[in-house]
Amino acid sequence: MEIELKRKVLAQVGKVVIGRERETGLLLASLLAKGHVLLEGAPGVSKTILAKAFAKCMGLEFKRIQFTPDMLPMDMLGGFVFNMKDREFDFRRGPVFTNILLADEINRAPPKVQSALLESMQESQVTIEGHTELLPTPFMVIATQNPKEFQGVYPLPENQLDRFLMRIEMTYPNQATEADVIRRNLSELSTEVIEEVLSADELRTLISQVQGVSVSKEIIDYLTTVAMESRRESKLSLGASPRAMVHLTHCAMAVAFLDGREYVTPDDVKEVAVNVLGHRVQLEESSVLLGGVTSPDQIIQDIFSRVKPPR
Amino acid sequence: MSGEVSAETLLGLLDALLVAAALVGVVIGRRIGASAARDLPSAFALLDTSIQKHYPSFAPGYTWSEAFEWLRGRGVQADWSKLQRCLSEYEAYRYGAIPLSDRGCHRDIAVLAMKLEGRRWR
Repeated sequence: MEIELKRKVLAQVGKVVIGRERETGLLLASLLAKGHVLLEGAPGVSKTILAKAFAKCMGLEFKRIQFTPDMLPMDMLGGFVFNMKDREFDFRRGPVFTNILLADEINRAPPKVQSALLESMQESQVTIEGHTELLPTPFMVIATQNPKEFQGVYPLPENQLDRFLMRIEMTYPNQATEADVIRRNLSELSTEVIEEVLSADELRTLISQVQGVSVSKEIIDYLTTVAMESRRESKLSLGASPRAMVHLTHCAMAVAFLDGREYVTPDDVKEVAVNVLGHRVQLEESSVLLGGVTSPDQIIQDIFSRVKPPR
Repeated sequence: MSGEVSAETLLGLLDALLVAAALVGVVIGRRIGASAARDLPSAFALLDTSIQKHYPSFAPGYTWSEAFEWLRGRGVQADWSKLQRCLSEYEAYRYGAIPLSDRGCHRDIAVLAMKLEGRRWR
C-alpha cells in the first residue's frame, strides 16, 4: 500500500514535472512526517509547479500566496471584518486556512509576515486578538525561495529556518532531462491532468500509521552520535539541535514507511540527513575563509561518512 | 659419528616445521572464518571485518546497502539480488526484531566475505 502510494504519486506528479522524483518523494515523506518544506532554487526550476502538482494528487486543498515586501500578516492569516448587518466583527479566514499552502518567495515578505506564518506552522493554529482558530489537518507549508537573491529580500533567520522539516535544493536538470522538459512543454501543460491518488481521510490514516514505525535503540544511539559529532565539528559554529534530530527521526520513519517497512534502518536516516540538517547547522566563518568547505551539506555528508552506523 | 645430526639436516627439519605450521595456520584460519559465520549476524560481522581489512579507504560510515553498491561497482562477482534479499532479512531482524528464517543466507554472506579475503568457503 505504502510503496504503491509512492509509485502513484511519482507517476501523477511526473505527468507535469519531469526529473523531480527524489524531490517528490521528499515532499511526500515530509507530509507524512507532518512537516513543512523549504524549496530552494533559481527561478524556473519547477518549484511552484511541483508544489501544485503534489497538492493536486494528494487530494488536498491548495492555496498559493505570492509574498511581497508590502504584505501584512492579515493578508495571509485573515482578520476581523465589521459585519454591518449584525453590527459585530466577524473573523474572515485568510489563505493560510488550507491543507497545502504554497508560500512563494517567502524571503520577499517582511519579517513580521514571515514570523506570523512560522508561528502558524509551529502551532497549527492562528491567534488574532485573542481569537484562536485551528488550521485544517494536514497542514503543510511549501515555501520557496531563491537563495541567490540579495536585493529586496529578508533572509530567514536560523530559528525560523529550523521550523522547516526539510530544505530541498532544486538544482538545474541535466541535459537529457532538460530536453524532455522542453519537448513536454511544446504543448500546454496543466495540473488538470493529475488525478488524486488518495482522499484526505486516507492520508490522515497513513500519517497516523507512520507514528507506528519502530526506531531501535541502535538507531537512536546512531542519531545521538551524529548530533554530538556535529556539535564537536570544528568547521561548524552551530551543530544539530535536539529538535533537528527529532525531525530527522520522524523523516526517517516516513521514508521507512513509504518503503513498506515498519522499522527504520541507517539508510533511511542517511537518505534524508542532508535535507533535514543542512539548513539547521552553521558554518564556522574561518573555515569558509580558509577554503575547502563549500556548504553545510558537505559537512553533514562528511560527518555521516565517518560515523559508523549500526551494522 | 653416526649419532650426530648435521646442521644441514637440522635446518631442513626446521624449514619443514615452518612450512607445516604455515599450512596448519591457513587451515585453522579458514575454519575459524567458516565457523565464525554460523548465523546471519556473525556472517555480516565477518563481512564487516573483511571490508575494513581489505578496503581501509572505504569510509567507515558505510551502511550495508552502500557497501554492496560499492563492492558491485568494483566488479566483485556475486548474486547481488540474492544478497540484497539476505540484507533485507538481516535488517528486519536487526532493526525490526523480526525473527530470522533459516534460508542459508549466512552462507551467502560468508562466501562474499571469504571472496574478499581471497579464500574459498569450506
